Amino acid sequence: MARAPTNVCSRRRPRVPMTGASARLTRKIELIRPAYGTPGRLLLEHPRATELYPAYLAAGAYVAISMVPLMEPALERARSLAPDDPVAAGLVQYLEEHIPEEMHGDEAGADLLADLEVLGVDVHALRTGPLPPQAAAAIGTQLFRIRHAHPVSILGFLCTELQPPKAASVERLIERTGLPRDGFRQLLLHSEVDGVHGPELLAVIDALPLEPWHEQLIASSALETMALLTDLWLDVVAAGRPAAVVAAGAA
Amino acid sequence: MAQQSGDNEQRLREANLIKSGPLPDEYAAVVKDLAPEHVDALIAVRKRLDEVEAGDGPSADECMFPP
Repeated sequence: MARAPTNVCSRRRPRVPMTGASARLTRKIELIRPAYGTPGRLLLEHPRATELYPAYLAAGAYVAISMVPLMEPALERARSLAPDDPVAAGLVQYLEEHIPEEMHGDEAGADLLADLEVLGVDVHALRTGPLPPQAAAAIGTQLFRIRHAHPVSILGFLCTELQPPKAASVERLIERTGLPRDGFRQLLLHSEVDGVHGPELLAVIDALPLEPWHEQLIASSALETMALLTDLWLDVVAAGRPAAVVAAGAA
Repeated sequence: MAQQSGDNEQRLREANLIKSGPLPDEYAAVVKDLAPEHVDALIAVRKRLDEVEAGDGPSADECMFPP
């Protein structure tokens, strides 16, 4: 089963011009992209994909339903900094437009929770029970950085929008699991809207007068969020893998 | 900074994240610009993948189901 580790630099991907902040960020994200896609591949290949998909979607939901509740304090902090901070001023405009787009329901994340309910997930328990450590780390780190570093950090957290699910892959997952299509509504929606949101995010990153430390902060948020999500999803798919593999992972 | 740049590439090679010979210019520039915490995050996720023996697939890009 074990295969050679990924050589991140050997993957054939579209060449991105090495100019501008968004291009520099995109190159860094490319380093983690193969890993970020691996849990999804393991899920698709898994003989118990039907059983694991609800848990997989629930794991990602912690981050998804926290996006608006994190963008709101970022907007508030950006507004307070804006008079003397052109990066914060530019961020205000972006967040004012993007927060309504990311609501996905009357309450932030409500539509995703509805998908989870269709799949039999106890969303009350999800909302009131202990968070997986990786989700808590991603959300808590972001809140700290918004408050104590700079609210532009939120743009790194939103970089998951740069990796939208592909509609064909979601359809494969629906077919593979045999689960109700209504449990995949948000994935299908994001396969469409993130194709718009992603370029908008890159455009704002290029438009802001970022200094090198802003870029590093955004990159830290992006790489850490994606690494933590990968780790969290691997917990789900590894738990469903043969016992020997799970034991090796836990060692 | 030059020391850190060399360290970045060395650390990524030691973690088998870079296995090839000299890096293409565009990747060399990216690796050079990584902060230590960025390298830490990349190595941590590589180790986790190795722990679950995830291996490599032909197109992980096709299998993303993000939040």
